[in-house]
Amino acid sequence: MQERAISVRVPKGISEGQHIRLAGQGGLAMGGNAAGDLFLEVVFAPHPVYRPDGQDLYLDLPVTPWEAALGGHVVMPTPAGKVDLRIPKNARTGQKLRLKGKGLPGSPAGNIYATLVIVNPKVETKQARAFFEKMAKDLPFDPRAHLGG
Amino acid sequence: MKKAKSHSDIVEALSLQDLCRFCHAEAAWVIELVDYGVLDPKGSTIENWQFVGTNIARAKKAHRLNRDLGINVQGVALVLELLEERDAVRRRLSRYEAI
Repeated sequence: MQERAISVRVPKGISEGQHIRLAGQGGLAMGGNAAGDLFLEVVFAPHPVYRPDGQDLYLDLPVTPWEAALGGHVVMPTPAGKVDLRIPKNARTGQKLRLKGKGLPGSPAGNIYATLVIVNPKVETKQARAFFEKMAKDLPFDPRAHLGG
Repeated sequence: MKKAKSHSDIVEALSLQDLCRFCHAEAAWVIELVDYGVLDPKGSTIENWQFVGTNIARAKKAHRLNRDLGINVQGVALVLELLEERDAVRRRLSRYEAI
């Protein structure tokens, strides 16, 4: 058998476990008949941002404490381009937002599920420190109230 | 090595005959897999059967389990079910581990 390299165009919308057929790239048939087809099974390499599940894509979306508290719009990159995503008021860490049809293409196309992760800014300036001190003083909030004791 | 461009397309559906050739399996074995619910082809008669999507990868895995480990159809059904359940749990777990 002779080794050779071929470049393969990955068809749009293919999902894990599906097969790509390369016509005429298989082994030669007996008796001088035309070569057979070559089949490739698709396995997804892990992606640093998206975790696929069927046609759906999951990702963690970092938001600031004020975006989570006040709500508003953030720009989120997706495989199909940037989208405007509305964060609801009083959003929590772990809350899932769904973007219908923005996942992997197909019929029907998958969804994107963005899990919110609230990220605190690092306090490095006097001004930032003053902000947090003011919040500590003015906002009556005990996230451990439900633990009892 | 010579690089050649070639036409590629997604294998959307295979008939019973094509699936047998694809997996190097016999029709009787594939029919048994359908009877045990491992494969679930579209079409009402055997002649009309179309195996789509994950059914194709499942048939390949089932054949490997049978050929390499000598597992019978009931065993293959159980192993595939457990493997798919494990994969689903792993995918869910990875969603939480990333946070």
